[in-house]
Amino acid sequence: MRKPFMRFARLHKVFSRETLFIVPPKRSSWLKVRLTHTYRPTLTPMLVLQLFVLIGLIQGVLGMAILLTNIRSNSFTVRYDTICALGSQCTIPVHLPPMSKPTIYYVIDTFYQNHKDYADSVSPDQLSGRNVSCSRLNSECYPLRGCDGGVCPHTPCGLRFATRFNDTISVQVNGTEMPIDASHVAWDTDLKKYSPSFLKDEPEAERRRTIAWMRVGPFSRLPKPYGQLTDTISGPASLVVDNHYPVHMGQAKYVTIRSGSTTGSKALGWSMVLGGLVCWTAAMAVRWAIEHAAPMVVA
Amino acid sequence: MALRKRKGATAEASRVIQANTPSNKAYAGNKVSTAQYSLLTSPLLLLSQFKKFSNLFFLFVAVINLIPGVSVFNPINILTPIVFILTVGVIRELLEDLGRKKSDMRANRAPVSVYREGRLTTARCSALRPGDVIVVREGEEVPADILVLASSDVDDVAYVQTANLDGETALKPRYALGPTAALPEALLGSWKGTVTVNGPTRNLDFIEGRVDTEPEPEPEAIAPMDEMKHTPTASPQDAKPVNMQTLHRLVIPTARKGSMQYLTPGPRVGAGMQTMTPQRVKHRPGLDMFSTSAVEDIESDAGSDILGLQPVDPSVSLDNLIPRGSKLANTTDAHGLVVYAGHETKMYLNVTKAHPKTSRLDRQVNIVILLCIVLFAALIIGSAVMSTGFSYYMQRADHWYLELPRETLLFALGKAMLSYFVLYAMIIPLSLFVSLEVTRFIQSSRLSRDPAMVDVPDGPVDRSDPRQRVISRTSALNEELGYVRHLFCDKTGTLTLNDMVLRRMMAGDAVYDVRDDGRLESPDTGLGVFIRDTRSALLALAMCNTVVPDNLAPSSPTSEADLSVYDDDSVDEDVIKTDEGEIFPTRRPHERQFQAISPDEGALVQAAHDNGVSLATRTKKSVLIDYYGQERKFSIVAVLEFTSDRKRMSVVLREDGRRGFLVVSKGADSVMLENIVDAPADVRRRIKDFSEAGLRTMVVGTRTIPSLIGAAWVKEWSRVNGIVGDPGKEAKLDALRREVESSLSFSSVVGIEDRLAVDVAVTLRRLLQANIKIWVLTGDKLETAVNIGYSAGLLEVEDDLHIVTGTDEQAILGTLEELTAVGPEPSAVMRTSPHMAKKYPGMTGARSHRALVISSEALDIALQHPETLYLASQSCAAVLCCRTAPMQKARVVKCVRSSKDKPVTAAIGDGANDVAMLRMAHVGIGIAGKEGLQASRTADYSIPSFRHVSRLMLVHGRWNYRRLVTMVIYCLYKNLAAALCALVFSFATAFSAQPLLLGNTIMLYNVLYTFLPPVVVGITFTDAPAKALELFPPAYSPHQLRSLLGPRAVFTWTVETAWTVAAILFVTAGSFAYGGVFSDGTVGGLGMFSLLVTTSLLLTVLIRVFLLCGVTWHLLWTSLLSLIAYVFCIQGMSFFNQSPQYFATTAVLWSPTGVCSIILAVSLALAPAVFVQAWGRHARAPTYVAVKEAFRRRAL
Repeated sequence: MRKPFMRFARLHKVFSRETLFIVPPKRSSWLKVRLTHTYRPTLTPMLVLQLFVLIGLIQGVLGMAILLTNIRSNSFTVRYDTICALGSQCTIPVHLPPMSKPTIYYVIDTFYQNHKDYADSVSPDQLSGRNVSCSRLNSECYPLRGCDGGVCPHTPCGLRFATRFNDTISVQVNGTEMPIDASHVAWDTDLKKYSPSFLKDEPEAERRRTIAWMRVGPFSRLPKPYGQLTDTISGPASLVVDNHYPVHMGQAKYVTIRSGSTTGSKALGWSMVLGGLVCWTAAMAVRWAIEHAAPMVVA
Repeated sequence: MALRKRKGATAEASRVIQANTPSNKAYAGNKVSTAQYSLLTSPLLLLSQFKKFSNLFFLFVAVINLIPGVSVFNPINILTPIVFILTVGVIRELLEDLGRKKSDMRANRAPVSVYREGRLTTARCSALRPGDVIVVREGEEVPADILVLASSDVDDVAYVQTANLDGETALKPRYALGPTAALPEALLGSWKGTVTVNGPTRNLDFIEGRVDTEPEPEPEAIAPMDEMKHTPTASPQDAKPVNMQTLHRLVIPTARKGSMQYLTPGPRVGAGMQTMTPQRVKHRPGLDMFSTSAVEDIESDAGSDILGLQPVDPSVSLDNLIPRGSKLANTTDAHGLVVYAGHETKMYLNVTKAHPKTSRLDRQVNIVILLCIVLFAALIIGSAVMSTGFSYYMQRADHWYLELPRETLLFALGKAMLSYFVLYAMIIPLSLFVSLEVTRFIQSSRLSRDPAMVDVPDGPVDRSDPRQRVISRTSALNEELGYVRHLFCDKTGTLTLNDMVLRRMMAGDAVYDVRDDGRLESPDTGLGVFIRDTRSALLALAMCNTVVPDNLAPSSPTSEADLSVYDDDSVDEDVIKTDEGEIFPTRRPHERQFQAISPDEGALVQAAHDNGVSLATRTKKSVLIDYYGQERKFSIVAVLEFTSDRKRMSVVLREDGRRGFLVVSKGADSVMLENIVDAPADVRRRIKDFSEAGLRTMVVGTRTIPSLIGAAWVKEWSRVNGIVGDPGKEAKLDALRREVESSLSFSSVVGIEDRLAVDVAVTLRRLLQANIKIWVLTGDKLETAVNIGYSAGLLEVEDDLHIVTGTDEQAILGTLEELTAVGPEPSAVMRTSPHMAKKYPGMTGARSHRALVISSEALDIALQHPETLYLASQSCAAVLCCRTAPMQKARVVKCVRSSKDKPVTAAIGDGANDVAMLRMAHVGIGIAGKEGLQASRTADYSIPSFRHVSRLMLVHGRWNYRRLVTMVIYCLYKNLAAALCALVFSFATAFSAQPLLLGNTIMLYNVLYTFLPPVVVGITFTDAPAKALELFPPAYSPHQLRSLLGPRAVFTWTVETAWTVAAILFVTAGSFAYGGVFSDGTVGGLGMFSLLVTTSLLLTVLIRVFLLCGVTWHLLWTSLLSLIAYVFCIQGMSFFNQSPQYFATTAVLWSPTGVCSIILAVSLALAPAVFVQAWGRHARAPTYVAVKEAFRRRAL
């Protein structure tokens, strides 16, 4: 039997004149019926078997790699909207697993930032510092008004900005506050896009967190980065939370401290490994089919 | 303005037209314009695009999307695909209209010879108006509806061929109007008579009216000498100026019924006319026949009371009308008066759009689209309800940040429905219609370029010649060829070449075979023609026909030596007497070609020619026969034409220099033998022998009539022929015909072979193996049809023929029901596949050894019970219908196609008599053959010869069907997948109509990213090579039984689509544990999620096509191109500030989360398809594998 994969190796055919250009080869026009196909691999069971093994292998390797990068990752989550009354500052004692330079996230559950009305209620041009007419602001920032009486507001309009997250979070170990670096909270491209005058009066960290907030999350469980601790943390600590952001029935607010991973999560790694296993199982099934099911015979 | 005029014209009751008067402005001119748009009205072109449902639908979507509160997408995203589709549509329409404009221009600019102010000039066709007198020459197309004023022909007859109008190729005689027939041609240019006719009608067979000759024409309105040269028949001495008043003295007006009746010498009594006005009346050479020989004879015998003045009929009837589009033939030229011009001509009034045929696949696609619409509606309503519910809940739960407006329930519902209408519009595959059109067009063009279906083995192909290559005229039926169940074949010209050759002959008692060189040879003695009987029989064959010889070389003078060899005994009263001579034609007479309208006549004349009796010249009045080197001249006294009722034709002749008349009659044995008095005893056995050898038999009889009796008959014949307007005329003529065609002497029986076309047997066998039921519908008689059936391999020796003849309804139905009781023949699939055999144990078996042969009259009765006939045919391997008329053929097709199984039918034929059948069948296949291009033109596909039909259907039809089905399914799949993404994501967005796929993907998904691969599939996908399909016809039959686009396919594909969408969405969502994390700690958002989902979906869709069709280079490069376009567009989108990624697409795609989720999502989405396909290929081997296996086992 010929090795099917060797067929793919014929790169000179891939880059031949016939394939690269629409120009037909001299003898047989593209429009003419070609009687013989020079290359016609079909999905024979053996080829499929090999395909499954290969894809399973790729997935397994990638999954293992993700798991390996996440092997030292640890995370800690605490819900604080039930502990801490709205409008007050609370200190929540926590016992953290060892984490090196962890990222602090705040998570609002059941928060429809991806709701169409909410996500659309922003004027990108205004954010980048361009002059936008009042009527356009009004239509772009619906359901809020973009400007009143023809006067353009100094602050950006729209729901996204108006409802920005305003809780503050800090971590204290033995009474000393850990420094939080908010420089990797927002995308570089976003920072470039927003005009320098956007929240120029507020601290840079706050500005960046707002920019991160403005990037709409995909699901109703909304995690947003708050900042990174610059040091390793472990053992007893306390979270100091200023609870200002109102949440209601069915919603929840969490603080998550998470370390180690730059490649997504362990879940992704496990699902990759699982995917690889599924592929291999399929390969085994095909092999079984080859051995046990008799092929049809043409009389 | 023009429109109003035309409208008025249809209501016009009658019109009065004065000849040669330019004042007939009230009636439409001859300018035609069929183009739909002009420069001014070209915007309508765009409007016409919205006649299509899909275009209108998407315009509606775009308009809804513009409503502020409802808008889902950036308007650009919705408008771009619509603009693309509209542009394609407009360009196509524009090209078609330009084509029409071009043909209009060609029609309008054609030169016409017309009289203007008495002079014959050449004008443009469009300049003609009613009232113009024009001259049409032989072979020219008539530019307007004209009344014949005069003809160059003897009897003032102009022969026309109206094939362009009604498809009939036979020449039709049209007679000059009574009052003008007698006028010299020179005067017609200034004739000022008026014609009153009815207004223009669509009815091709209706015109009535009256001619009024102007009593006092102006003398100066006479054509000058020099113009006369333009009229070809007017010789100079004829053309001398004629005083009109002298002429009109001949025309004696008599008053009758208030209208003017004129008496002029009738055209058929030229002798009398000659004596009265020898110079002034147009020279009529054709009348000499009577005047010089026959008539003088008659005069001496029977007096001249038939001569004299006849009332001239001033009425205008169909006999005078030559409609636009017909061709003048066999007539040098004719003068005509334009009565209807331009759009008022019969041809243009009859221009209706041909009823377009649609294929089964089209109907199924429509059903699937309907399903899509139902799903669409259900999704919209469901989503709107969910949306309203969510709004209500979130207001109660105080999701304050959304600032949800308080709306009434109905308003909220309506708004949500409109939003989801736009969001889910992707379910309706907009691009499918464009893809289908483009694909079918290219399929047709590839079909007509197939090098294996060209009829010239060497040298360049003449593309314009339908005799050389396949032409696809209806690309909408490309796939219909792929599941034909019944094929209706014409016999003559289709299964056979329509190339007739005399094969056997019985003359007197002697029977001859015809050698390959054409010579007769007695099979017993090996000797040639030496019996007197045979020679006179050959003479009879040479005379009794309408064949015109085409003398290629000048006749070489026959040498004395040769002459001496030939017996100069003539045909006379004693012609039948046996008189043995020692005559062998020692040399072949010089080469001649014979122009025969019917090929069997040509074969007989050729046979006579090959054996020394050669037809040298034929005019209307005489034949000159080279009888073994001796010239014998016969005057034709009368020709009794062949009609299908009489089934015979006869000529009445007189040989020069002899007294007495000779009648030669030939026709079908059934009628001829009744009238032959001295037929040899074994003649019927011989006829049977000939028939069984597959020959078409004819019997020839002769009779001599003594001068006196003959002359009386001729006199009576001329008299009855001259009667105008007697309803009993035809009955009288019939009686006269019977009088001469009775008590004939036996002359010969001829057996003519119609040769089988190339590879007929092989082709038919393949079609039968492909489970296609063959019906042969022939005009031949039963025996011939059966013999052709055997020789073509349609029937086998052991077949049990069920022959149905007669008119006994009970007997016919009895036979049919007996056949029905047997049950349907097992299909080819069941015969060839053990898999099917296991599934349907009772259905296997060999080809049924039954065949139904049915005659015309029995068929008429059987057609009254169509279901019985259909069921009976189902149990037979083949059905042969004999002696069928054109309409009967169409009725048989209709009977089958409208039976309860609704099988797909195809008809194949070559002649004008097959046109009705070709139109009736689902697919009409024409053969461009000897009988003209009628069938080829009206058919949906035209092939050069019958053998190509197997490739056309088994290979191209099957290919195209699989291609289109694959393409349709794929288009539905990709669109449904895109729409389902939005549906599933709605659960995460509180049903707020938030789209998931990137904005530009909505815009370009159908028209750029996934447009090419399905088109390439539709053009190039081949699941089995052509050779295998030709060698393994059973591969064709599964599609006849079960559609590939049935409920099962729709269900499987919907499930797969749902799986695909679920796999992609959940895998990608799963990888977003913390919103999608980058190495620098930032997280992705909705934009990153849509980018990953879109990419995964596109990759899945693009890879899926390879699973469907295998990896081919065309597919590979188009998919790569699509992918490159996608990457380019999502990058380029950033420049328009549309991207939610803002220049970060590359970073997103190459982030670990991105790469991993894409790989996992795509492989998970495709895994079941790959698995099922691999499993299926193994367990239920498709044709391709089956064929390979068969090759390996050398079973083919």
